[in-house]
Amino acid sequence: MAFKMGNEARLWFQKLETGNPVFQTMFDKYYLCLLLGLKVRSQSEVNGDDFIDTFPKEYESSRFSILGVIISAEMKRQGLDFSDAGPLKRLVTKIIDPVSQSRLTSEGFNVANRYAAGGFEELRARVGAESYPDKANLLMIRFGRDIL
Amino acid sequence: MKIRFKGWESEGLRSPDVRLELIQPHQAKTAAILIQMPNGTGKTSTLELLKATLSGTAKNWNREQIEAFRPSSDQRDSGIDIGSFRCFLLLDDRELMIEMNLNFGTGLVKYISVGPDLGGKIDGYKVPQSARWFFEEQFLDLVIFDGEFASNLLDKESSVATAAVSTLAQLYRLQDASRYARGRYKELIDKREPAGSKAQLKQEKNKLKFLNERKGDLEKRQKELTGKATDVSIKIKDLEQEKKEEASSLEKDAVTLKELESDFKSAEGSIRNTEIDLASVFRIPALVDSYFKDDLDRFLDGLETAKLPPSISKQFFVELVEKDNCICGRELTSIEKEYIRDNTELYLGEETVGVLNLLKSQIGQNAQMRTGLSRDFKTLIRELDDKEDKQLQARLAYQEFVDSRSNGANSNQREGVIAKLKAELEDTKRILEMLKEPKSSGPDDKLTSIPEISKRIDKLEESLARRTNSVVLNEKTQILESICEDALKRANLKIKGELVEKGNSQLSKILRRSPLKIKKIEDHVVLEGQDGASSGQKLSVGYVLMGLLLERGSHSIPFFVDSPANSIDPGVSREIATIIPELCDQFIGLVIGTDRDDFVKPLCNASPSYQLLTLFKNTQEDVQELSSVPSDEVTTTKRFSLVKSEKFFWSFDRTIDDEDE
Repeated sequence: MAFKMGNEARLWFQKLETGNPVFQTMFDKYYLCLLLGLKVRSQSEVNGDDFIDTFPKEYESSRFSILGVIISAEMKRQGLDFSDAGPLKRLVTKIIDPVSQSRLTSEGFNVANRYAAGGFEELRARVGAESYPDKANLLMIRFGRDIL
Repeated sequence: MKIRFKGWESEGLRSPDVRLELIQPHQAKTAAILIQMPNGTGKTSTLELLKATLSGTAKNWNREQIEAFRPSSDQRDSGIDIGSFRCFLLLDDRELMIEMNLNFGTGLVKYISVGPDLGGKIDGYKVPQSARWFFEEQFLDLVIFDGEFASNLLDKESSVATAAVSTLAQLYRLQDASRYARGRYKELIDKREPAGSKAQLKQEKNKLKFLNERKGDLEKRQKELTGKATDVSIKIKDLEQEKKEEASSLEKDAVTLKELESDFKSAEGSIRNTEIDLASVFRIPALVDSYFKDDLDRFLDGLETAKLPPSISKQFFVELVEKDNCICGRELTSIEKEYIRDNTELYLGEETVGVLNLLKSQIGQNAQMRTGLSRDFKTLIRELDDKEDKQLQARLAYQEFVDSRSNGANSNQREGVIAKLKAELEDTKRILEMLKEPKSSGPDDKLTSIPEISKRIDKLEESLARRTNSVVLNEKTQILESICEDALKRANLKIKGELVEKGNSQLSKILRRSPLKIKKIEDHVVLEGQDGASSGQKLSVGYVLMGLLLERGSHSIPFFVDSPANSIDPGVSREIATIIPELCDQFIGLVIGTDRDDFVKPLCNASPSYQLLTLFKNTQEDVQELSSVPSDEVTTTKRFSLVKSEKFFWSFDRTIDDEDE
């Protein structure tokens, strides 16, 4: 299993500028969509290919925090109580694979990919379907401004 | 003769519709009159109308020239299609009024002249014969003086210096005398009975008449071409100066461009820095949005409450059931082992425990980073927004500057004009050389050499003199002519010599910081060791030479100057102001506020008496300002106000009125 980016999202992001330190990699764009999906609690089916099977080195110091926000979003989505050890433990083991390099199980990847796909839908809906976004939209795309 | 401007009045024209009294009944000796007029008040129109009224030259104006003085529709009263300009003068204390009426409907100009020396009121333009010289257009051009005249004085192609000397020292009288003698001689020989064949005499007379006419035509052409050469060379000089200034401004532009480029690049660099800061914050969810921070806090609390990760891992129980005894030494039964095995799933594996510990630790560290952060995600986003705006502005400023300096087309066009003018000047000079050629052959009607025509005229005159027994009279006329010519040359040399000597003495006082010396005066003024001069230096030379010329002779003439301190350094301006009362008996200057400290003040201090007037377009703010001025010192018309108050003059703070002249 790996992180997946939908085909439409790949094409859409290709039209954006390159060379920006915030958006050097495909994962940066994926991560933006993931945060947006987690925040608006939107999930969507992914129609695309794997692009990386672990967190890039730039996310070394935050990958566990990312796992934490994914688990939290799922707890809330499923209406689970954070203080209830049993369900929390089950969700942790469902999402975290302690031995894989990414620390994500297949289900963990699925959950993350669905949130990222949902986040992309949200972003595209807010920005509009412009092929060449103007400056304001570019900033919104880059940083999810006005959403995050 | 003593001539003074007493005032002028304008009605229904572009110039300010007011009456100016320059000499008050109780102030007969007002020497310096300074009229403060903000730029745009109509100075140029006023001066042009003043010259046209005094010289009577508007009689020949075409409709277009007349229309140039028609006020705009919002300025004129409906139904009135005539504009009038009146000049009031004192000629040896006797009054003269000349009125010029421009009829915009018919396109005609009419004059009215009134004065005791004219016998009262006369329909038409007329001035007393004894003062006719003052009202000549070329004389008025000198007396109503501006910066252009000063520039022309130093122009190699110009003959304005000789013209000024001839006019102001009235040397043209010698030429008049010479022409008069020749005219009288001709009248006399026409009456005498000729010797020999009458037909031959008639033929000679016709030939002489033809040659005189041809000479007159060629001299007229010579004068026109000399004027044209002056104009063209001034135009070339101006364009070359423009080119030079552009080259120097290009150097300055390069510096500005570099600065703008550096602003633009530093804006780019600054954006880059914020983006890098933003990138490090962006990759940590708790720093991006408090929403994620709250989620993570709740998650950590949940782990704490659920006692996760536990202190004992699943691995401990898996290994325990493999052993016979418990860690306390007691033997484990198969039932107990089965129970432990069934419940191991309730505990997390060692790896999972390890990951949870790492997760807790990283979330904790990330949360701590949030408290130590100088700018949070949203602040950085705003900062980036601002910086991108600034970068856009810097880029636009850079681009605008580059675009505004892309004047390649203009400079190519100018090069073309310069080349065309140079060719025109060469042609003109060639023709002028041809007209001056000392010798020439060919039939009379093909002759272009003025000296050759003069020789043939002389020969014919001698022959005619012989035939009419007028040899002695002709010789006497020739002697008179040569005396006049010689006197003209000597007077020119003497006056110009005096001007150089006295002029240099005055210039050394005025231009202490940027000394300048006149080497000689030919047709133009030649400077010692330098080809050009600054505007201030040119104006100083102009003032000094004009002053010296006005000072000569028995006439006392007023001096009228538009923008007298224009382009002069403050120090030079003060010096000139101080000597002006020595140069003339009546000085009228049109000034703006910035001339007050360095020109008006020292001039007032040096003058035996002075009058300060302020003339400006009416605005709402002025109504309030004028309320503090005594009513007898204010004249307000529909468009303009004229204030005689000295206090108002010094406190008036406008240098530009809104409409172009």
